[in-house]
Amino acid sequence: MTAADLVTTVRNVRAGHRTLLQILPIYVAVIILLMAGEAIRGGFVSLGNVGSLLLLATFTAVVSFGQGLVILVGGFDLSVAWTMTMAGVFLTSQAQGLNARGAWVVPLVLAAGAAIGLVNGLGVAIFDIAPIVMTLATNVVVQGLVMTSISGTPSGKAPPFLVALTNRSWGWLPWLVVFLACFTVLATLFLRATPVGRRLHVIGYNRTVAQLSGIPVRRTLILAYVLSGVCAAIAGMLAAGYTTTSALTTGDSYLLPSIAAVVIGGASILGGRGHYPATVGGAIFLTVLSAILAAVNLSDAVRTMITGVVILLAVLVIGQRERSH
Amino acid sequence: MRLRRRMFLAVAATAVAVGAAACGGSAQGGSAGSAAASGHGKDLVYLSMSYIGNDWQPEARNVIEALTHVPPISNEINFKITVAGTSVDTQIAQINQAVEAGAKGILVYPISPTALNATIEKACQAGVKVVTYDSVVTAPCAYGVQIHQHYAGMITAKWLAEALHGHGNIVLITGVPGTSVDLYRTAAAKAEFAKFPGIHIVASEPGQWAQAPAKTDMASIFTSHPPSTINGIWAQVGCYAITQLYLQKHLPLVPCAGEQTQGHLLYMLPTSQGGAGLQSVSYSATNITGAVALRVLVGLLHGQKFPHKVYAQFRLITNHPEPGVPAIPLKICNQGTPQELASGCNVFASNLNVPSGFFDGVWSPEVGLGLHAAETGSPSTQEVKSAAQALKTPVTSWQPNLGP
Repeated sequence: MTAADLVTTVRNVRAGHRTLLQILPIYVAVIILLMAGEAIRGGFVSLGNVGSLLLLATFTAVVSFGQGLVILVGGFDLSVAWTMTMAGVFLTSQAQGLNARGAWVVPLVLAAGAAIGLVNGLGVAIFDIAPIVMTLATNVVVQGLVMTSISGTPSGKAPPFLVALTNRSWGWLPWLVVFLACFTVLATLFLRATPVGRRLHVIGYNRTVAQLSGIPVRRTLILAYVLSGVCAAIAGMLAAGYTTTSALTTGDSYLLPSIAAVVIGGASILGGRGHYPATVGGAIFLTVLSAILAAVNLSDAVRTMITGVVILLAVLVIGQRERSH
Repeated sequence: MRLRRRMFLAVAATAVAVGAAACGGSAQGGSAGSAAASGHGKDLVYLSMSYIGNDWQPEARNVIEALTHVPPISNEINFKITVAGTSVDTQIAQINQAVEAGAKGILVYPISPTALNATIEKACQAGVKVVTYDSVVTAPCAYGVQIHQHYAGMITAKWLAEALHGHGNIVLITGVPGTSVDLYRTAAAKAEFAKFPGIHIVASEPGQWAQAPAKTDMASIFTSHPPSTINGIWAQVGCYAITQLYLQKHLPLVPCAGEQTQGHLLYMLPTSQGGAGLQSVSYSATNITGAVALRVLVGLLHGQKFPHKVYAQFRLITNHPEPGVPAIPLKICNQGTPQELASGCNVFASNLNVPSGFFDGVWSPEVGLGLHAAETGSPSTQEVKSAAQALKTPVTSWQPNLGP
């Protein structure tokens, strides 16, 4: 082993060490929350419960990957709300509870999510429209399209394989949690180990430097939005699979949590920094918090306030830790 | 270069928006029956909707819209719809716009019982008749058609408490926070439960009157309240999805009181008939309150007099009768025609493929429409005939027995 090799190895270990230190805080926060939950209601921390909580966190975690990509390159995706809803509604109304139909409906829904992301990406990358404005507009347009296409209640059922994926378990371990684990590994590898992933980081960190180093900035930006649309579509289909039927309320309740999960996971809201495993931690944190608040019989308004305060505290504490590195 | 790009986009976006408005305008404006008529001689009536994110709202709108196609209403009004979402400011703006456009009457689903009052008072002063449906406002000049929400909350809570023999832990799944419907029903239910000292409310979550949120709420509640500790559920809407959760987790079912949705009613059937034997009382918020409100509005435009509060009749359905709770048994509708519904059937046969979140209270004697109208927003020929007949009967207010 040469001296150069040794230096590289030490650098890699230090980098890995640094990454771990950036991911750990949110999971420590999750453990603290779980302990608080156990103190409030004994038996909260059981294998079955943890499995349920991880299952419920999956929908947020999947949307948050796409949202995280967009935040990484300095934007926001406010269209995930109705993209998710569109995915659920489209899936159930076309699949009608049949796996055979689901086989072609699912790819179509993914394509629709990608198309929405493409529109966002083109607006932001080619026409220099501010991401908040562009994605807000897209969100409203998608809402209009969904409402026009159904004349009343969303109809139909999700295909049985999705219902099974989201509802069945091996003992205490839900299948969807296994899905989440695989998704997390793949997503993290994409961000850390592929050229595209690295380009996303550079663009977010300093767009001028990225342009000057020959990175195809516009194409990569568009890709970030396309992937966000696809993730929202996946999450929407999973949510529809979980409840078997789709609902018009689905997406709205995941928009702010998708951003919150990214931020309390330690990503910089301005872009350039973020680790998906920490985002997943953020999603789990939000889910556990919500479950604990359900255990204390407070009024809705008070619960909302507590949620806001806890998120703020988490951002302050975890965000600060990041800056000190 | 950048400027040229933005100019191109601005022109393209404007073209798309104008095109969409033209298409949308002709689609909606024509719903009063004759697109050819420019509204000459017809009264302009607006429907101001707010929250639309659940199963109930679009269905209620369909019944209203279907009624606008029935004579003589179809010959008398020019009908338009606006949707504000959960934004109070947007609903205020849209009501103002309706008044500016020359509306003679406005049907409103208010997002707040008080925030629209100033706008509604202004509309009344301009001579516009304002009628709310289901949810109410406190503005004195407005009329409101609703089911007796207090009674609905009270009587279903009474059923659940009796079904549990006065003892047990229960979970509340409420509606859309901030609406008067949610406020009155929940308050009435809590007051009724308070009469039974053995009944404990262990958790309460807003279900938004939709199945999917109810299910995720319940799954979340299970993490802090093991299913074995929950004895009963009072869900304004959600007994279907919650029962589904119980069945998926192979848990024994507990009694559930809630608003009738197709899936919920099907679960109430015995297992021999394809149901799950769910012990339940189901009440209908009757998606027809909006249509009855339209009738009141049209009547007001004709100079008829109505009380400011009109209560629509609603039915309680149960497979487990309890003392002091007047209810009718389940009866399957094989076609969903108005005639069949008039004969007392209340759950649609599974081969009609009605969505599980669909609200089955689609018929009332004052409206006379059926399943097709509620599903599509336009009446079948049969429905037009029976609704035209129903329009000849007067709208009356139904007073429930509120007990001692």
